[in-house]
Amino acid sequence: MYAIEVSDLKKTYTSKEVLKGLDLKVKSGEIFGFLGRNGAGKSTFIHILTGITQKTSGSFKVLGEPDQNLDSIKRKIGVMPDTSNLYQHMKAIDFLKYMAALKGDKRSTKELKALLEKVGLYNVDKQKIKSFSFGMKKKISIAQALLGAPELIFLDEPTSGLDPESGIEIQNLILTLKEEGKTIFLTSHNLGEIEKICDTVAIMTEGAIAKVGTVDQLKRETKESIQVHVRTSPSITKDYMNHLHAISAEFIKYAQGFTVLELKDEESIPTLISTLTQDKFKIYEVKIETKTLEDVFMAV
Amino acid sequence: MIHIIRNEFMNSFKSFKSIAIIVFFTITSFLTASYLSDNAQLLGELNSDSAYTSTIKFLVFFLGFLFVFSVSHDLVNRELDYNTIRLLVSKTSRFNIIIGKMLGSFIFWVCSISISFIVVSIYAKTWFYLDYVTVIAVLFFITSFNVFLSTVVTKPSMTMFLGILLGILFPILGLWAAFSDKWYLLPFKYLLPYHYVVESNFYLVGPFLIGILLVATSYIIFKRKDL
Repeated sequence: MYAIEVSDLKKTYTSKEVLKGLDLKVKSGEIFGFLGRNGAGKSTFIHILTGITQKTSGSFKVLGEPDQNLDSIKRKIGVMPDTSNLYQHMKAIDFLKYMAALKGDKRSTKELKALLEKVGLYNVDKQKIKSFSFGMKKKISIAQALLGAPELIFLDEPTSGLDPESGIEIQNLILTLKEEGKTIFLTSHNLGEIEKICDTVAIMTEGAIAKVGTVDQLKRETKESIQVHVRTSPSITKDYMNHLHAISAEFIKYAQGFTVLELKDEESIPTLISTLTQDKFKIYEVKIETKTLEDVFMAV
Repeated sequence: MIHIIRNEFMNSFKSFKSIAIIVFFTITSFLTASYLSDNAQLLGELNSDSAYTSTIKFLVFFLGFLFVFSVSHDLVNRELDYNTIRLLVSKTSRFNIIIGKMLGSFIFWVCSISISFIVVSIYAKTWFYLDYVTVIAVLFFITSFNVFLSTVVTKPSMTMFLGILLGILFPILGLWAAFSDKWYLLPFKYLLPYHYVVESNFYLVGPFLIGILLVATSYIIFKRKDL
């Protein structure tokens, strides 16, 4: 079962095609990370799926409902928009009451206070939102997205601008929501965060999906050279590197007693070790620099 | 929709301007009614019990646009300006938002005017049905036009400027057109409520119909907007 199914989705503004025929499927119950540089079209994509922006063409289904039933979709989803502002003049509890009423959520004041605590806001229910810090506003924005028991929650950069502690709290909250069976559609520029909590990741460039898969799949698919740190005795000299060119190894630098080499792929590692052993080098330590999602992202 | 109506209605009461307008209406009505009550012979000279409601009608016909625009010129576009509209459209239909805001604002003005009519009716010991319906018809038109203006114009500063400008122009053009057959005044004659008010009775359906048309147009425009 898919929470989101998108087919050939396009959005064109007067002079610019922002979405160029997107196809995407998001499984129910997963945390889906949506990456892309600024202006790649991530927010536009979320805005279309949540009724904030109109599509130009294409179709989508959210929780089995076709895009024609947008009002029905809205009842089943929670949205934390990216640049949305809040009703600054309202008290936190009144804001949540208003948002809850719009969603048909009949929670009591006590339950709404509990929701505030769930997102890490304690004893602020009677405070006006205008007195909130940036991080607190982010948290109450997440809280309103959780109203109405949504099956699918869109979080557009929920941790941007938060201090590390608050960021981790939000990450833990997202993981808890997943345990509760909810599907999370998350955008973030924090690649470490995406790598840590997302089941599936899509990378968007210039209005199109460039890559989609699990973090491990994306790392494997990235055909990039790898860096190996080798500690040997004697040390590998630059003259000796001529021997290693045969196996396409390139010298990069010396660092903290290691010789850092660049190899074309993983298969070159055993070849490097056997070559060094044959040439009477004692190998004490080999460290392979693992690829991160950042490497994958930068390679797209 | 009911929650948007309630929120808009309650918000209207929270500004100083709206309270001042309600107080102004009430005091003016009270003073007029009190004066006429003490000088009953004037009613005979004015040839109508409607003299009691003349002040209310005068205020609504001549200053109604200005009053409504001053309190809620940014009824829709302030949500666009502050980006709070995204919180609303992701939760409820655009139809609910437009109709809810229109009704919230309209009910506020109905309540405000009703207070004045109640004050007057206490002195006159009668309820002025036709005058009440006339004033309500004009207010319906004005609040509908206000929704239209704040949907079409996305900048609150611009609706404030236009609100003042049109608030002065519309009563002048409308009343002039109502008593004139000049071709260039025909649009103002039939699109503004004054002609229908002058004709009275069945014609009072006119402002309601045009108001509904304005709100429907606002909804169609709003439905197509990228927020």
